[in-house]
Amino acid sequence: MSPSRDAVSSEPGRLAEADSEIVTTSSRVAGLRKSLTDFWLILCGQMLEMRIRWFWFVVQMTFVPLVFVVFLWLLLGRTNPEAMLYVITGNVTQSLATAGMLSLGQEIGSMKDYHTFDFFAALPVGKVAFVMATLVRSMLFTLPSALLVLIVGSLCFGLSFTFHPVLLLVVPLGGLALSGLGALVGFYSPNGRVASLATQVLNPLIVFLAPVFVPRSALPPAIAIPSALVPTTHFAEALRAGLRGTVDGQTWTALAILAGFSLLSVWIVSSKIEWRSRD
Amino acid sequence: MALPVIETRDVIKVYRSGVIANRSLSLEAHEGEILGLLGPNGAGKTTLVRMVMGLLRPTSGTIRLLGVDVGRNPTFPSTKVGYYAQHPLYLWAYKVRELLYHAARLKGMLPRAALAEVNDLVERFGADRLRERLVGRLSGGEKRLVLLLAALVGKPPVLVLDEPTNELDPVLRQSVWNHLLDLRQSHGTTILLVTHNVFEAERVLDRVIILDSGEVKASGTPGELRRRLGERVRLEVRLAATSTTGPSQTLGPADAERLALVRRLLHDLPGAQEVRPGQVWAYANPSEVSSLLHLVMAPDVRMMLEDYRVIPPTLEDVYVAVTRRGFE
Repeated sequence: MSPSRDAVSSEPGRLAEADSEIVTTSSRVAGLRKSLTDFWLILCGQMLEMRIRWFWFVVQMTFVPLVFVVFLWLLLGRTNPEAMLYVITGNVTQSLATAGMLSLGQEIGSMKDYHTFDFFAALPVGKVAFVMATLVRSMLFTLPSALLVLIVGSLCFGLSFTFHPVLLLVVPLGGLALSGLGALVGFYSPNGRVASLATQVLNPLIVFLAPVFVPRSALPPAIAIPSALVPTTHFAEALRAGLRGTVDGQTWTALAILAGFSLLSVWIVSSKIEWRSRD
Repeated sequence: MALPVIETRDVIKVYRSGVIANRSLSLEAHEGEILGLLGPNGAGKTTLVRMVMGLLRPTSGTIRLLGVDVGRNPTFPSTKVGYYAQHPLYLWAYKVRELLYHAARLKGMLPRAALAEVNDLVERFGADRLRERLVGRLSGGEKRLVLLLAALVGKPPVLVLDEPTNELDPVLRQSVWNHLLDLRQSHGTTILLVTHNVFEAERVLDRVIILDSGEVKASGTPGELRRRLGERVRLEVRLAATSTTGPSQTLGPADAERLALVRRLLHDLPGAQEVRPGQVWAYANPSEVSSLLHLVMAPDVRMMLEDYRVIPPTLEDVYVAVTRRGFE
């Protein structure tokens, strides 16, 4: 707590120090407020895209997941509910986790192609606010599709899902955990096409090198052991636990690891990415 | 002496492809000055302004903005500069008022002040009819105007404008220049302006730097630069329309021969160059003007000319003389 001006008015040196602390604290508060304002404005601006893309958004968000689930149902019926649980939750995991990485990388790449990126880069907007707004927008656009897969999947395969409050942490941390990678791809790719290719190459790596569609015990040891280093492993496990209502100590451990990856992503974006000075 | 607002020292920029965009560029812009960068395409103007904005890293050299080293603080320019980029805007889904409001808020303005600023700018530039329209559905010129307004919003102390009046109609162009001059007068705004339009540049710029092939070829006030050409006047001659399509198809042999003679005569004049097909410029001292006019008015020559005029030196002449490329 900063010392009050009255308490130290008789000691000029401490007054200057107190003033400095007050200014520093005020600056930090002002900086945080600016970051939140930037985040909100950029997010609102990006959500405006729905104005002109709403139809294709509805088609993409409904058609693709419906076809996926119905096709599986027609092919396999209700013969193996446990396997279908992994397939359905795996699909949701893949959508949500890679929404952050894929969309971020591709979105930033295409912004550079269209010079939209320069518009934001020339404004006093923080990197973290910009990336977080783009990430949240991607996640929000992906959520309806994920929910539809869960609903239709539960109807088609007789699965029973719950909504444990831990999911309120799992979903955002799952997207955030991979955002650093997506931001790196987007900012350092020379153009949108390379960013898109890079994210499409990375996508199967973070999905199939992790127990997203199968239990970890089903993975060969050569993949199962290093899968602990892949954020999607912990996202898939925490998400499944939250949807099945089987939250336990392992779930909280997975959450803590996701939080660690998320902090790493934020650190990468804030400290390691030079988004304005590019060759 | 006050520090320059914008200062570059020996700035070199070499792209990864090996292209040398800027070669040891040094320039200064002082408070309240409108400094113009002229030059042909590929001269390095946009590269330079992007480095001033911290959007691009120089290969070597230093760039200072308000005394702050931009290389070490690449985010600083965004806090002090209103930037208009050469490229069109692709923020399709915003309405015009939303884009301008967001730009104002992202620059740190409070909501009420941002709203007032946007309303003021929109009315000043007669863009009220665009307010509720989507940016993606505007014409090219309208998009340019909106982008320019986004740069002006908040009245930043420094403006970096890369060809701001491209695609604007003459009335809007006039409004833009008047507003820039007004900002300079009332707020002491420093403006770094990239332009191809030498006519407008002459009316608005305090100082001009002419770039070519990444180097400064000339710098000074428009008056100083014009005086480099001396007191010479420019003779502009346009050959008759039929003569430009090829004499063999439209002229008889006698006329074709006369045309060839006239061409040789004109090209023999001091500093003569055919700036466009059929359009020849030449330069003469004031004492030579009357003999030049006699030459042009001779019946044999006059019948081969569509038009001619004598003009005192302009910034355009300096540009042409310095770059020797004529016009794009």
